[in-house]
Amino acid sequence: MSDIQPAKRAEVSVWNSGKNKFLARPLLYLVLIFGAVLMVTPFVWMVSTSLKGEGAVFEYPPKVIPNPLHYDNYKQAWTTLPIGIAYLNSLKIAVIVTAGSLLTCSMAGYAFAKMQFVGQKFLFMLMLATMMIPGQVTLIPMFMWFSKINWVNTHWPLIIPPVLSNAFGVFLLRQYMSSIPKELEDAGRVDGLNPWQIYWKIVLPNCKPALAALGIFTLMGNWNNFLTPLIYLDDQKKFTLPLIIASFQGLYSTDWPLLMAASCISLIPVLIVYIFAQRYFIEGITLSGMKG
Amino acid sequence: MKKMVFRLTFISCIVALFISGCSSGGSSTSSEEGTPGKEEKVTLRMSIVAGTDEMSAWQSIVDAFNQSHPKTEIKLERLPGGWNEYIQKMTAQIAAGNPPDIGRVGAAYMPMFSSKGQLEDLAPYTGDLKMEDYYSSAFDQYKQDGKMYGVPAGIYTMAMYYNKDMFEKEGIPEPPTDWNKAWTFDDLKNAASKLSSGKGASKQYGVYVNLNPERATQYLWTNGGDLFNEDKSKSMINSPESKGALSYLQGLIKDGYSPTPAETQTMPPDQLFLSGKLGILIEGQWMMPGFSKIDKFKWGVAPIPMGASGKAFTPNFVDTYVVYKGSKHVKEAAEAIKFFISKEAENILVDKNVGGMPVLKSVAESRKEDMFNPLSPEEKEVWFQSVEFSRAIPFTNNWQEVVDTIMKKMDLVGLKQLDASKAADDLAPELDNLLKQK
Amino acid sequence: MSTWTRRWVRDNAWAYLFIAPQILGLLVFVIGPVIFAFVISFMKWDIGSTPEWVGLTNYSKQVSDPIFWKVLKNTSVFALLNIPLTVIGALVLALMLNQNLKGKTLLRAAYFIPVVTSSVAVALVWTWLYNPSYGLINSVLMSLGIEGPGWLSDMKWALPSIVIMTVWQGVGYNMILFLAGLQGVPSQLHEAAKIDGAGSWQRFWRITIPMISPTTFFVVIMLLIGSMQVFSEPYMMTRGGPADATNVLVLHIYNTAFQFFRMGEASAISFILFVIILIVTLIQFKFSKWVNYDV
Repeated sequence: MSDIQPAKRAEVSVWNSGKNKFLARPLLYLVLIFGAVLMVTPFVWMVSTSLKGEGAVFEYPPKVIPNPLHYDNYKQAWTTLPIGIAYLNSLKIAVIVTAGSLLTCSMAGYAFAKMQFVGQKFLFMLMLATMMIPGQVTLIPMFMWFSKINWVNTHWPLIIPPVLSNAFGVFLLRQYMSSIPKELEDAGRVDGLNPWQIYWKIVLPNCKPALAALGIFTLMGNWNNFLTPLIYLDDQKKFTLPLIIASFQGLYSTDWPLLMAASCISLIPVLIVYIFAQRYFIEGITLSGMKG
Repeated sequence: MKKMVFRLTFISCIVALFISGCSSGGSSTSSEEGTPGKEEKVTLRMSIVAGTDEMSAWQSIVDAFNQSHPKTEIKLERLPGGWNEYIQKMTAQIAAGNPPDIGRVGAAYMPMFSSKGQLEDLAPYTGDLKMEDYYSSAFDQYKQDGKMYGVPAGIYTMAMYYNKDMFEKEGIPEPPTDWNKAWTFDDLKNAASKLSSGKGASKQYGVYVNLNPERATQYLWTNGGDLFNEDKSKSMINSPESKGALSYLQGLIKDGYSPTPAETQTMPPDQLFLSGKLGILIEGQWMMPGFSKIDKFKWGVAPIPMGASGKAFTPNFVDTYVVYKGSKHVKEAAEAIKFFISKEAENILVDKNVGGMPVLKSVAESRKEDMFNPLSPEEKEVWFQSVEFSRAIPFTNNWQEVVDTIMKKMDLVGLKQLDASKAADDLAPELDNLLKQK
Repeated sequence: MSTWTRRWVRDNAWAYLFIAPQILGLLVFVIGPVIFAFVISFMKWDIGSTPEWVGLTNYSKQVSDPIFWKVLKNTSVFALLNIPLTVIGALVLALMLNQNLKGKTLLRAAYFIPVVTSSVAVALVWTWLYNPSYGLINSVLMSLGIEGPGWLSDMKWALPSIVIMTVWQGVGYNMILFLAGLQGVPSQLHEAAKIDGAGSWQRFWRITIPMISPTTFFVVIMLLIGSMQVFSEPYMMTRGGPADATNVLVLHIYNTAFQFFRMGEASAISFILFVIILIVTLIQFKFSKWVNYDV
């Protein structure tokens, strides 16, 4: 995956310069690896706890590799609560929301970045402004509104609003698209393409890194969203993964190994998608329409 | 131009289809639920918050009800999370006019719900209950002006858990099990000082002092003080007796016998106790299921130590079955709640070790053997006897705000940055204000 | 219709077609509830009862409320620490990992891991790291002969502790955005500059930085909004304590709404917060000459 041609990439290294090269490299690795260890610690704890017996969780000093390994925590987590159904629910919602918001956000982002129209500035600022109101105060009116149209205890409140109102995504793609050279579009216009075709055939393929980033974020946000499904879903059969995972936390005590086993199970799809998406972060922009 | 008009119509058609598809999807689900059976079966929603290990117990009593009442069906909804999430969700549903029919509400939230008119009065439906069969004190807190906003689900009290191995090692005699002969504050302090030792990773604490009013009010009572006066119109936290109790507690922290709030954030006190690093933990009955799994050391239960008044106290927490305002089937819901406190249902809860002490005297007395295991019979009496020594925490309808206000000062007391009696003096006018607002 | 008008109409129609789904969502799912909340901000409403008009009381009450000023201060301090640390950290990371390094796929994954780790696990591990006597940080400090502070329970250190954790989680997230932005820098520009004899520092400042400025701008604005609305970290780690040391605006709003049931006041605080963020954002847009759109 990492062997994609480096020639396409912009060489922006400031560490490779001149005489410092030999000294800088090992130092760079040292810093990066130290940081990486820091980043991974909670994750390691999560995996390690998921394999521990209940009494061993708060042992001091903590053991990274538990002895014995309790693999059956995974089996137990899977069978105690309907994780399978929750998995399907979460997958369904995440796929629709991610695909849907990539489409709507890139469309709007394109218009805001590359077109001129009446009310452009106003609508853009309005969109940004709505992000500045904390969700805590719109929760009740939203719920009342969804209750009126009978969407409570369905998946619709978890699907439609994130697809149709994602100011973060619009803003992100607008920023990215605005740095795409005009020449690319002009070339398309000369070829007689209409705006939709320019958007679809020229702009989108050049936005892959940003689309990959947005895709990952949307997926993540959805996958881990706890409060919205908690408020809207009543029926355990409709629950999403975060609700099921939270179910391992009791009122007075928490079964940490099971909770962490369930969390690990839930992580797998996100990691897979991340690994797939991440190749786009190293794939550079192809400037077919521009001479070097 | 024509082409574009066509595209516009095409896309708007798709959008319209999409939206209509969504709404029909939504309404079809709800009509499914509303489909009347052959003989008008009533469906009730019951929403509770509970741990996964408790769920089979709650489901069992609901199943038992459904079996014996063919015309009513209860759907049990379990909300993941804690009380905060439960309250948030109930609030949203009440605001939208579509709350569940039956709920189970923690004692601390009852005044808030009932004062806001969010609960149905159950008095008209519960007239046929034989009150003398029940622990009446559990009912009293919910009766207001002849109305009854809830029915107690079970009683929880607090007591003193202690690590017998640690006691033995330090040569501390086991505390008595009779609440009339409870340890004194001095006994506790002595024991705590002997039990505390070590530094850094091997640090071991004698006792855990929790300054949250929901866990500390019994110290005020037993010292002759209180949080508020009788009719909750004035705060009593700055009375000499209350101050004495608070200073005593702060002393335990100052002497290093108790972990500060900082430590317990990471290592919750029950985990500290479980891992054998804490000698004494004064906590609620709800810890029993977790502690019953301890195999590394012997542990026991004793009455909470008493202060200057010479009488021991423990707070009681009564979880409550309620019917939310807006339920279309109050009568059926009340019927269900009455079933939940019947002999049959209470026995099921005892079987599964869930829900606190039964409110039905006959069940509480006949099932002593099955409750509070693995304690010895004498130690079980600590729990049974505790009901007589219990008082309700003076919950108000703005209790969350009261706790919030108190904790802001108690944090500093716990951190040894504010003297306990100075904190009490600061708090008194603030609490008086809150009591006026309620 | 003149050609110009026809073109104007056509361009506008296309543009509105492109923004239609998002604008529809904005109108239906966002503007409505926001207006509702705005109206409620002039009312006394405890959710159970009918709302009661109180005019500007909910707003004027905040001005005299010391807690409001305290949480506003905490939130601002949080933002002022969090934004620069995260931006610089994420940018430096992205630059380092955008090179031809062995194992960079693994390293990138490592830095992204905090974003996907269960937030419960994150909160728990961090409180454990911060624990004054059993915690890792203080154990290390102790071996160096330094007595560490109480971190989350120390009045002075609690808020910085939360910032450190937030930065830790935020750098990976924003690194992804910068990495994506870096892919948009045409290598031809660098080649050309190289031929002109520009050194790598010069190329970094003259080409890379201006070229990714739209991304930087985006990251800064989003971090501003996110920092001013920080909630889940203090909610999970400290609940705002000790003694309000980590109480922030949105936590205060949450408590006011769902613990104290004063919806009107919660809405009023939200709109004060809204105005603050909006003003800062508008200023940023006004002074966004440094952001380099198009080539």
